[in-house]
Amino acid sequence: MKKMAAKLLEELNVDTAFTIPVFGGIEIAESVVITWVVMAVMVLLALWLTHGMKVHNPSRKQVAAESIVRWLESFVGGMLGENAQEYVPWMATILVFIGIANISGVFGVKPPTKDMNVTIALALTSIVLIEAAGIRRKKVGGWLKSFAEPIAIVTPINILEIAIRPLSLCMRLFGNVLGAFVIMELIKLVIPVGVPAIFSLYFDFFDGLIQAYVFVFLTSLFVAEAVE
Amino acid sequence: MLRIDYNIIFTIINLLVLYWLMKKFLFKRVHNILDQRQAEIGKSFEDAKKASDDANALKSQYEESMKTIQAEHDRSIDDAKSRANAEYERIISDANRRSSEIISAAKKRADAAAAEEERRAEDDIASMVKEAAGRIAASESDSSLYNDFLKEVEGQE
Repeated sequence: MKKMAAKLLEELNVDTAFTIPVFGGIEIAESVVITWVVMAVMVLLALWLTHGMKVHNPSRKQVAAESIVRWLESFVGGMLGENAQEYVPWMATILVFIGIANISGVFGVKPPTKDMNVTIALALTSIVLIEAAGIRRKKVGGWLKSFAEPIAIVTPINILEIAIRPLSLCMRLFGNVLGAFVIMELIKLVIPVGVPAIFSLYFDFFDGLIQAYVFVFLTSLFVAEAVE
Repeated sequence: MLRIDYNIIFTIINLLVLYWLMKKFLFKRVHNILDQRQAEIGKSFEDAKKASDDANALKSQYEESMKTIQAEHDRSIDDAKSRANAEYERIISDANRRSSEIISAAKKRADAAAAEEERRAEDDIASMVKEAAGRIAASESDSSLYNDFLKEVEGQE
């Protein structure tokens, strides 16, 4: 039992993958390295899919690339609304990235989104995107005024939301992925064969993709609200 | 277990790089193709519309010229008809005039001939009377004179 607990704790740790020996050693976390792998997979996939595209007689590969891009754009674009279409590529990229990161546990690595550094980074980019979209749309004056809407008394709450929104985005993603990861590790420790595969369908694939969707959906919703 | 440090910044950089790469290699590339295709479709639609516009213009032009030709045709038919009518009238009146002239000339001639005949008959009768009178004067009897006169007349007829 003690051994099990120790093993579980070890799995939960965010290890340092390697240390860059400058400024007294910059420790690069495991999650960052796995993020690189996810990025490499996505970029190589994109390069492969879009290689040798033609206007006429598209290959099956190209048809797949076109339908993936169209699907992503209509899916994310529908959530962002017509005023925020310029943010569609970013949100689509984030959706695919979180999706792949969440199910990367299936391949035996620790999902990057299990590391709070990654979810904090994602949440920070989201809140910056939300507020920047608001400022771009309404100019600084209109953006500041929007804090006092719909009535002036909610201004403190609206200001608090700048912190609450990214915090909830970050914690929801982190908690779900960590929880799924813990459960999966426990199942793997108790019954190593067969059963984890079944549970993995739910905890890795279903929950992972749902969380990617929820993250992108909420961010898109806030952006759509900001540019209204 | 929880670890929050500068890896946040690395992740943000990762995300920005990933966004840039995906935009460059996936979205832009696919959109280039989609836009080109859209442009081609738009162009072919435009071409088709232009062709049909041209055809319509030609058709209306053709209809216009057909109308002109029809009008020209009608006009020349009317013209020819009226000219033929005028010619007909002229010919008929000419013929009438000429025939009345001929008739009157013939009448005159016939009258002249009749007058001539009358005059000759008068002359004949006068000369016969004169002859008869001469004979009467010369002959011995009235009866023989009378018979001679009758013989004379019979011989003439």
